[in-house]
This record gives sequence, C-alpha cells and structure tokens, in this order.
Amino acid sequence: MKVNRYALKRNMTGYLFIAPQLLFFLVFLVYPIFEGIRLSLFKISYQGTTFVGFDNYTALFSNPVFVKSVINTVVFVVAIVALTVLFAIFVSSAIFDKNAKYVSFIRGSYYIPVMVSMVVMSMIWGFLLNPANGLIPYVMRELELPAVNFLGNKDLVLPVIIFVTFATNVGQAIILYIASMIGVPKELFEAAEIDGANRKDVIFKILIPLVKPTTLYIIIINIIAVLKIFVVIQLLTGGGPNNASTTLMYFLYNNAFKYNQLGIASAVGVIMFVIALLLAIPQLRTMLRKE
Amino acid sequence: MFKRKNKRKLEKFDLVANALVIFFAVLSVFPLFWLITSSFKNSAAVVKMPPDWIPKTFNYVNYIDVFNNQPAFRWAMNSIIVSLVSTVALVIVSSLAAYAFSKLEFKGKNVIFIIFISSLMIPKEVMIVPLFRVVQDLGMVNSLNGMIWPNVATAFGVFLLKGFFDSIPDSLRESARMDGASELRTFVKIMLPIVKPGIGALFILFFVQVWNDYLWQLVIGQEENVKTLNVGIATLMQDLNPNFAYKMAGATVAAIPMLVIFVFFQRYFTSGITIGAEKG
Amino acid sequence: MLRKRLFVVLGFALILFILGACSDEGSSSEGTTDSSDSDSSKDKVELSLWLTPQWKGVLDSDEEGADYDSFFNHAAEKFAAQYEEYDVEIDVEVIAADQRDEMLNVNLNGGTPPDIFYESVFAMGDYAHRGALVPLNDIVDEEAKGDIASNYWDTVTFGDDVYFYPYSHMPGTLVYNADMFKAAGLEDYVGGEEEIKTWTLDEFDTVLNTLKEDVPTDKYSNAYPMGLYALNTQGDTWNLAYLRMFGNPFFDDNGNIVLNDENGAEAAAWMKDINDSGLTNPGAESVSSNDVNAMFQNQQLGISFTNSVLYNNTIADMESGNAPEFDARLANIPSESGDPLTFTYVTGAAVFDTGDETRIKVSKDFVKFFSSDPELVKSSKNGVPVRTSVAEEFKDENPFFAAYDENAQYMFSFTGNVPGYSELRQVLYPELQALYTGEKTPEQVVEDYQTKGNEVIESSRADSVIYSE
Repeated sequence: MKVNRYALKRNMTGYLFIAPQLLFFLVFLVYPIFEGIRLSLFKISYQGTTFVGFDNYTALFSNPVFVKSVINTVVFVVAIVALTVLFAIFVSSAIFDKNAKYVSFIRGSYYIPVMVSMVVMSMIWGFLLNPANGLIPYVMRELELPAVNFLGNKDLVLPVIIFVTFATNVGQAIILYIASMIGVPKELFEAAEIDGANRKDVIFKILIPLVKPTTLYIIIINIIAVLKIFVVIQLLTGGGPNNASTTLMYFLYNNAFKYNQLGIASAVGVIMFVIALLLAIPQLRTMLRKE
Repeated sequence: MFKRKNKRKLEKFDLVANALVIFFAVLSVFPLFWLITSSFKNSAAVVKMPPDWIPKTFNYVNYIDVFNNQPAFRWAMNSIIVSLVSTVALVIVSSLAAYAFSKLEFKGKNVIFIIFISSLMIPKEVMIVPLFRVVQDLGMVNSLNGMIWPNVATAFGVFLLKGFFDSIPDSLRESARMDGASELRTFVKIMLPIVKPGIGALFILFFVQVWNDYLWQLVIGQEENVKTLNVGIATLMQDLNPNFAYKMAGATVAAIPMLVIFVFFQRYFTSGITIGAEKG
Repeated sequence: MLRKRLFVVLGFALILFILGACSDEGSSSEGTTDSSDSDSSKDKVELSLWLTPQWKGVLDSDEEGADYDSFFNHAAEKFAAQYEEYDVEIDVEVIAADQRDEMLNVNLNGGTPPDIFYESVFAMGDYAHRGALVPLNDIVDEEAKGDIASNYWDTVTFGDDVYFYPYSHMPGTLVYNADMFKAAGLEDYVGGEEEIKTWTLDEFDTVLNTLKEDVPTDKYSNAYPMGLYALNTQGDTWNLAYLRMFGNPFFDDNGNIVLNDENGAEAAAWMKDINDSGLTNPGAESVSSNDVNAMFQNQQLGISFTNSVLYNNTIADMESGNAPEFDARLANIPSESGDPLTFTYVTGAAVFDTGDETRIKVSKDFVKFFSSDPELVKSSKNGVPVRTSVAEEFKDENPFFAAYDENAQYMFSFTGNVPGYSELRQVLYPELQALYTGEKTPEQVVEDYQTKGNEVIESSRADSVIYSE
C-alpha cells in the first residue's frame, strides 16, 4: 500500500514536471498532425467541407507544378547541404589553428549574413540581381559577358537560389566546425607531423574523420532548414519563371493562403511530414541508441 | 628538420586556402555593405551605374521616411516581444520537462520521450493549415499570442537541456531530497544553476530562431500593428514607392537589431551554438 | 548572480508580454461590444474597413499628412457624427494589393472577414461568386441609378444582384516621358499635355525603336524604351490588353477564353519580339509592375503603364521630391486596327457577410453614406468619378475627364465577368514567363493559357453560388 502510494506520488511529480511542455506539444504539434491528415481527405470550400478520400493526393501527383516542387525541393536539399558541408570544412580547416583574432574575424564575416537573416539577405540579393537596375547584371554587361537574367532563366534560377541560400547560411556550419576542430587534441597533429604528414594529410586523414559527429549534426539541421525553404522563393522569384523555382513549402503556402485550397494544402503538408519523418529516422536511431 | 621549418611558415596549400577564405569572407559581407551604403543615397544615385561605392550624399531622409510611413518601431518591438516571450516560455517549460526526463522516474517516461524527440525533425510549417486553425480557434490570429505559443511546442529545448541534466550526478539530487527539499525546490535551487550554460545556449539559439520565423509570423500577423519587423519590411518591398533607397533603408532597419545583438554577444553566440551541437 | 540576471530577464519579458497582450486586445476585439462605454445612450458598433492603396488624402494628395486611409477615416468620422442608431467606430486598414487574397481567405475561413472592403471590383468578384458578400440592392436608390451610368452598374452586378457600390473608376492607359521623347527627337509623336495620345501600331514601333537608338545616354543612363513585366499578377490587365492588340476578342459569348487563334498568337509573338529586341527593360519574366513603375519614375523607361490614380500619384511624387521631375503624359495602348484599347477599373465598396445583422446593416449604411454624400463623393475625382454630377463639377479642374470620356467607346471588359477571375490571373503570368524565357513558342503559350484558363473557369462556375441559384 505504502509502496503504491509512493509510486503514485513519484509518477505524479514526473507528470507535473512534463505537463506544461506536453500541453504545448499536444495542442500545437500532435493535434495539428492528426487534423492535417484528416483535412487532407476533404475538399474545403467557403460553403462547406466534403469528404473526397484520396482525391487531393491524386490531384497533386498529376499536377506538374507539384511534381516540379518536389523535384526542386530535393535538388535544393542535396545541393545546399553538400555545398554547405564542403565549403564549411574548407574554411574551418584552413583557419582553425590560426591566431584567435583572425579566426574570430573570419567567423564573424561568415556569420553576419546568418544573423541578418534570410529575409533581409533575400531582399539584398533581389536588388543586386534585378535585371534592369542590379549591380550584378551591370558588372556582367561591363565585362561584356552575355546578358542573362539570373532570376528569369529557368536553368539559372535554381543555381542562383542554391547559391543565395548557401551563402546566407554557411556561417552556422563554419562556427560549428571551427569549435569542433579547435577541440581536437593538438598532440594528434604533432604526432602526424613527426610522421611526415603534410597539411593536406592532416586535414583529410585526421581532422575530417574526427569531426564526423559535427558533420552529421550540420547535415541534419540543414536538411530540415532547406526542406521548408520559402522566404528566398517568395522574395526573389515568386516561384518563377513558369514555376521553375517553386518548392513544396511555397506550393503549400500558395494553395493554403492564396488559392484557398485547404484540402490540397493539407495533403502537401502530410507529404512533407512523411518526407521529414523518413529523413529523421536514421538520425533518431543514433540519437536513441545514445540514450 | 625541414618539417619543423614547414611548421613555422605556412605551407603553400595553406596560404592559398587562407587567401580564398579571406576573399570569400569579404564577399560574404559585401552585400550588406552595399545595402547600407545604398540606403544613404538618393533615388537617382541608387540606380546610377557605375555606382558610387561610398555615397556622395549622406541622405538619412530615407530612414526618417521608413519610421514615419510605417510603424517600424512597433514592428521591432513586436519582434522583440515575440522572440523574448517565446524563448523565456520555452526555457521554463523545457527545463522542467528535461529535468523530469533525466532525473525523475515515472510510468511511460521512455515512450513519451521517444515520441517527443521524434517530433524534433518536423518543422511546424508543414502543418501550417491545421495549426493555423488551432490558433484561429483559440482566437489568436492577428495577435502576438498566436505567433508566440506554437513555438513553445518544440522538443528542441528538452533535447538540448536533457544532456546537461544527464551530466549532473544523481547523488546531488538525492542528498538535496534527503535534506527535505521538495522536488521543485531541488530543481530551482540546485539543478538550474548547474545547467546555466545550457540555458544560455538555448536562450540564444531559440531567440534567433524565433526572430527569423518569417513564414509563421507572415501568416499570423496581418494588420500593420501586429507585424513583426521582418514581415513588415518584406511588405515594404512591394510598396509602390519609386525610391529604391527607401526600400534599402527599410531592409537595413530590419538587419540592424540582429547585427547589434551579434556584435555585443558574439562570444555567447559562438559558445551557445557549439554547446547546442555538442549536447545534441 | 545568474539567478538575479535571470529574474531581471524574466521580469522584463513578462512586463513586455503583458504590454503586448493588452495592446492585442484592442485590435482583436472587433465586433459588436456592450454599451459599457462613455456614450451610454447608443450601442457601440465597431466596424473594420479594409482597402488596398487607392488615393492619398481626403480630397487631394497634397494635404498635410495625406495617406491612403485619410479619406475613409474622414468619412467614418463624418458618418459617426450624424448616425443616430449606433455609436459607430470604424477601423480603417490599408492592405497591400498582393496580400489581399491571402488575408481575405484566412479571415473568411476563420469567420472574421472585414465588414467592408474597398477595392477594384474585378479583384473582388470571386467573393461574390463564393457567397461571401451581401447584396447591396436595398441601398441603391433611384437618385444613384440616375447619376451613375448603367455600364458601371453592369460591372458591379453579379447574377441579379448589385454587390459593389460604384464610387470611382480608373481607366488604364500608357504613360510616357515626353522629355525623353524630345531628347530622342520624337517631338512629332508627343501629344498634348491634356490629351491621351493615340499612336498607330506602326508609329508605336517607330517610337520604341527611336527611343532605343537615340535616347542620349549621358542624360538617361540605363534607360529602356518600354516597361514590360510578368513576375506576378500585378498589373496583368495591361498584358491582357497587349494580347488583344491584333484583334483577338479574348472571351467568346459563353464566357470562355478564345485566345488560341492567329491574332492571339501574333500578339504574343509581338510581346516576345519587343522583349527580345531590347525595346523593353530586360528580364520581363522576373520584373514586377511595381519595379517597372519605379523605373519609369526614375526616368529609366520611355513608356510605361498607368491608370488615373497611379498617374496622379506619379505627379505627386515628383512634386514632393520623392522622384525626379519630368514631363509625364498619357497615351493609349495601340492596336493593329488603329483604334486604341482601353479598359477601366471600377472601384467601390463591398460588404461582407459577417453573420451579424447589426454590423451588416451599419456597414451598408456607411457604404451608402460615403458613396452618396454630396461632399464625400467629390473625392472620387482622384480617380474618374462614376457620378456624372461629380465629373461635370470637376471637368475644368481635371481636363482628362473629357479625354477619358472620349475613350469610353473603345472600352473592353477585361474580366469578361467570368467566375474564378482571381485564379485565372494566376494562370497568365507563368505562361508569359515561359514566353519571354523562350521555353514556349507564342503559339504554345496562347494554347496552354486557353486550356488552363478554361479549366479554371469551368470549375469555378461549378462552385459559384450565383450560377447555382
């Protein structure tokens, strides 16, 4: 009897501690997920809601703009994550063992765009790339390079968006790598040097393998960030030209808030949810194994 | 022996790499530099090609216009309120929960924790339609409340702080309990001070994250007075005003608060972000 | 130490939040509230009125502190002062035109639409089809019917009911930089200051080509003959007009798109051609009409688009020093037949079905009040007044009223009054982008637009409350 009461009290204490967090979690995350799945099976209009089964999903997969959104989103995730990891390793491995002031200067320079945020950076790039007034098209003209419209060319628009997103966000990865590399014991490098290894060997054989956990973390946070890429699309291209730069999040937003297709938008949300979950599973496994 | 020499001098590879690193670093700050200088020009000078790299005029009228024509100050306050309240609320609820998951024993703990952590990878934006309806039912559309509270649902805080609580020896808690301290008192008086670095890291990371939570704030804040700085300035870009420098002044206004925060708290940022990654 | 700082931060945050929460309350609690306020004799009714930017100031844009909401704030005050049944407060909110549909959708779905929306009728017709607006038949009296010509009533009538109270209209035309024309030696093509110049298509081509070759670059650096854009739906009516240049009627009698013929393709080819041969600003596919307008005001374009209100704002910007000063004059959109192409945006207020009888009634009373009060209707001169009486009164002050009147015979209905017009707009610009980037040929563009457009019209017709009645 006494034991039971003790267990009960113990349980209650635990529940009370997690209750506030759990409440927010249930109201703003768990419930919307189930509600989203439910809504995705309905056609929702101003007059009423009709059950349509999987019609929204079939409509989506026969919609070329949606298919384009899926492809673009995948391209963005792969390209931006790869670029970010490679460039961040390059920068951090070049500077991590230098003078502290220098390191902090470089780190700051790359981190400033992250702080200034994607919103402001997208506006700035919008000005810079404006085909009539922008600085970049002007420089291209001066150098007598062929006149191209970076935001209006369907082959260039993806690389441009990849570049802008990458250039804005790479600072975070650089900070993480630098910290992680500074944490590598100096003795390892000294030992390697005595063995006659040059800097390239040190970087590729010692440094990069040792910061693998950081790499994993960077990959994960960037995948999630790029999956919901929206601001840069809305402010730079509006999804154009001819939907060449549309993404899942942008497509979802338009359907939900512009075209008032809430059922379709919910279905896109469910699809994105599944993609995020699939991407998350490997990471979750490692994380839970650690527990 | 020459290896030692090598160590003193930079290897050629290293030299080239660092030259590139510096070049790109300058390039990465350039757009902001260009924005800020352009914002002080007048309309004609902005579109002039080749541009004046240093503005010939110091035309701060654009800034006056931004604050006169728009409730820009209100927007900035909104951003601060939303970020600060979200962050403080998350710190409170998630430190409680992280402590429970780490140190307390209760039925279903592991299952709840796994479900909880699984949600970490789900951006709230994918459920924006149902989430919006929830917020609508709570009467929080078009209010700062609607921008704030859904942020607190994230498992990010628990995820980050649990590692800190894990590294505290159980004996500390037990001895406090022996002395007759309640669970809450133990948590507040003994545990919280120890996880201070974790809370600092969470604070900084989450503050910036909420500040830049553009899409959600765009959807929730519709009237001029409840817009946040980023959203407000973004709508200003579509203004019919022909003066480009005015829009650039707007963009600069949106950039400044975070720049200031970064300059003053750079040290905390670096350590905060790193701690976040290590514990995660 | 930490605790102290933490408490300070927490305390600060809490205070801020309470402040925030308090001020939220003010904005979120619209609607009929109890009569607990100072004026206890009348019940209080709070209405929300939304508008997209129209004209600045009450009567003139050079008034002190003139802004887009000045007129409605003034009208609201005047209305409240004379209204006997309720103590009315009207909250006026200016909405960016490109956010209108987002905001309305969100608020309609949440059951919190604004009470009144003032906007161009073409952009709001869908809300009538969707059953979100209430008919205004009961506030339209014989006096109004007599003073406002029947073609305006046609524009605002959906099915059998009037859904918008016409207030003003804005004819769309072209605008050109007469100084730049003269600098390029195009004196002969410059029309009078109070004229809407009509060029033939050949003359128009000459103008564009001369501007390209002969505009002195020292005076106009980085300038282009004509503005062209296709980034989004903004200003798409001019694009719709260009597509009619070679005689395509656009809609058939059943309200279906018939752009896919020789004339339609020729028009598309013409647009593509001026874009390719450097007669327009570069990158039309990623440029918005706002960009183009700004370029014109910065003297980077010889010819651009405008409407009567936008034109007034352009002049006002010059006078206030917000933009460089130059001689901007109006011209018609040319066509192959020689007759100009003109259209107009009728603007007026609509009342949303909020489900609250009192608010609907007061909203209607307010709409009727500002749309018929002899003093307040004068502000419609900022566009072109729909009321003959007002147009007569101001015809000396604004010589364009006569010119617009002369144009009326060439007017085409750009919406064709089809259901789903807002969604139809979303179909056009991606096709134009495909045209300018060379992804599709002009023939493909008109064909694809026709197919997709008719699908939209088809499905919207099925959903329309007006058609189903």
